[in-house]
Amino acid sequence: MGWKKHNLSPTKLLLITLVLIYAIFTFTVPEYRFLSTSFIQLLFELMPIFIFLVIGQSLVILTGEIDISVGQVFVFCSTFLSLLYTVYHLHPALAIIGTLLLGCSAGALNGFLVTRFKLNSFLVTLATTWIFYGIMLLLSGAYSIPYSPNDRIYVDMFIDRIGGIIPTQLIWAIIFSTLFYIILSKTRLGNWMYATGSNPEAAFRSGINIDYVKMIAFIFCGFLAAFAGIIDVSRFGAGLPRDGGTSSLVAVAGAAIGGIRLGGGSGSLVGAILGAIIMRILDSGFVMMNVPPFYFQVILGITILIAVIAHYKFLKER
Amino acid sequence: MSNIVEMKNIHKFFGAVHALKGVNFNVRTGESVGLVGDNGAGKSTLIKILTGVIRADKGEIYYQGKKVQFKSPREARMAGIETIYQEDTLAEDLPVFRNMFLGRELVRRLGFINILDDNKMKIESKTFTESIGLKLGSIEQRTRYCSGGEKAGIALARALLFNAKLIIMDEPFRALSPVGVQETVNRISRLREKNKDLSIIFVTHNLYQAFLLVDRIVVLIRGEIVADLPKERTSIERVTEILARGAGVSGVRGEVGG
Repeated sequence: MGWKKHNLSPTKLLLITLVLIYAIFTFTVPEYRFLSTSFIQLLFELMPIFIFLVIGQSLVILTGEIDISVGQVFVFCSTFLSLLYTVYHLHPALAIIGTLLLGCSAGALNGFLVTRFKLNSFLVTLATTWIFYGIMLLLSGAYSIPYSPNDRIYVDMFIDRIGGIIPTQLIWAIIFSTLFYIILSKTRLGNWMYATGSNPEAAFRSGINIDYVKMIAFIFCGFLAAFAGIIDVSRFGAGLPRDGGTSSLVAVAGAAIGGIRLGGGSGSLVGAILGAIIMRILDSGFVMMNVPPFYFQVILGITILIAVIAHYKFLKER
Repeated sequence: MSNIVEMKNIHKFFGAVHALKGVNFNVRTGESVGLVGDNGAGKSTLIKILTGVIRADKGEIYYQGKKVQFKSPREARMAGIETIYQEDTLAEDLPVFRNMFLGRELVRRLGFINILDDNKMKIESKTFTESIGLKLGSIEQRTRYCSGGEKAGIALARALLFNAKLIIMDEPFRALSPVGVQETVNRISRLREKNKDLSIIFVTHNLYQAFLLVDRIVVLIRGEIVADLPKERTSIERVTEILARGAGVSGVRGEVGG
């Protein structure tokens, strides 16, 4: 392998890339604001949402599928929480549980369609994206809905700062990153996910229920999108029923940069999380540089394109 | 010698196609049988029925004297029937030791969850592959970087690791280089000498390789068994002739001889 020759693991290479990008921004952003504590704190507050979306997407991609709808599920869930609390007057705890259930159900629906009818997951989730988008607009009337529970604990548990410094959402991101790292690299289910993505036929013949494995990956992805949505609506104080397309692309691009092979079966979660962080730094960096945010979308597109080319032209080892 | 497998009067239809027409097929314990026939003769269908991938429309299967009906390959595997396919047997992105235990991973309890016991799997994989004469550079390398012969060896080792009683090999040599074929043939011969109760079914086109390893040849043509011959009472030429006649070809067809 190329990696071995240069004695650089993909993870090390990603870390170097991350540091380089950060250094470039440090020198290009006026007044060294990229190094200010307030900016770094903001970065850590914003990062978790990307991390959740990228982990979810990575799990699905590892099993050989893709979830284009993840960004829309994320937005739908953030709107849904404000809807449940503000419009339907549900207790915040119930509203949060309901939102997580919505995320899981969305994932389950995607997983069901893909495994039961043996459909192409790209096309299935492209279709469900519009279904989720439409239902969200119908329920919300396309208006933003305020979300501000009287009992602040239900907001603080997601977006407070512990000791005034460490953002709560970062703690959640660390918890879920660790949890999914363990699941993926240390449990049977994780091994089956890799095997299913690597060679579904071989996995099936080895007695692995590949439909179940894919289903679980989609449900995890939906759950994580819902969790990201809860953090999102808690930060904004309102559910904004908007298009989730960019978030979906962030999820795919973060996974791809992080070395999750688009065809499935290969890649580490540590890499994917670093990919999410790189995405976050790029996004915030462009904002700080006062360049139009659309540059970020161009970069997202190019990233995915490179990953697709790499997958179809260079990595087809099978 | 008792039969490990007995398939009686097996019928299978695919739409209007009568793929198997009352096949009777048995394998004795410790026997190695070559199941040969042209493309579409029904070899794979018969094997799929035996291993629970698909169901017969009619007929009975006895395994170790008991009537069985495996609902999935998993059930067949648990009963000791391992199938090694020509390809798609290994998840090549996984390290060798994870492939050895794929679907039957060893775990240890850590708190309230089961954690993969990678160390134990590595040690057992290494010991076992070496015991069947398979020397790999590293048990931790990605399976993709093994040679064809090594991959065939890993698939075989995996079957044996879980005490397979009957191994079915579907075109085991097709994807192999001449060296890989030789390695595999030698390995199987040694295994049979060591383990007298191990039964094997070779599903193949290739009579030359089949003849090196089998005790008996069963010829399937268009869903019917047309010949069932002990190896010592037949020859490659004779079987080729049967196959050619079945295919409606006079003389010998190239693909039959391999």
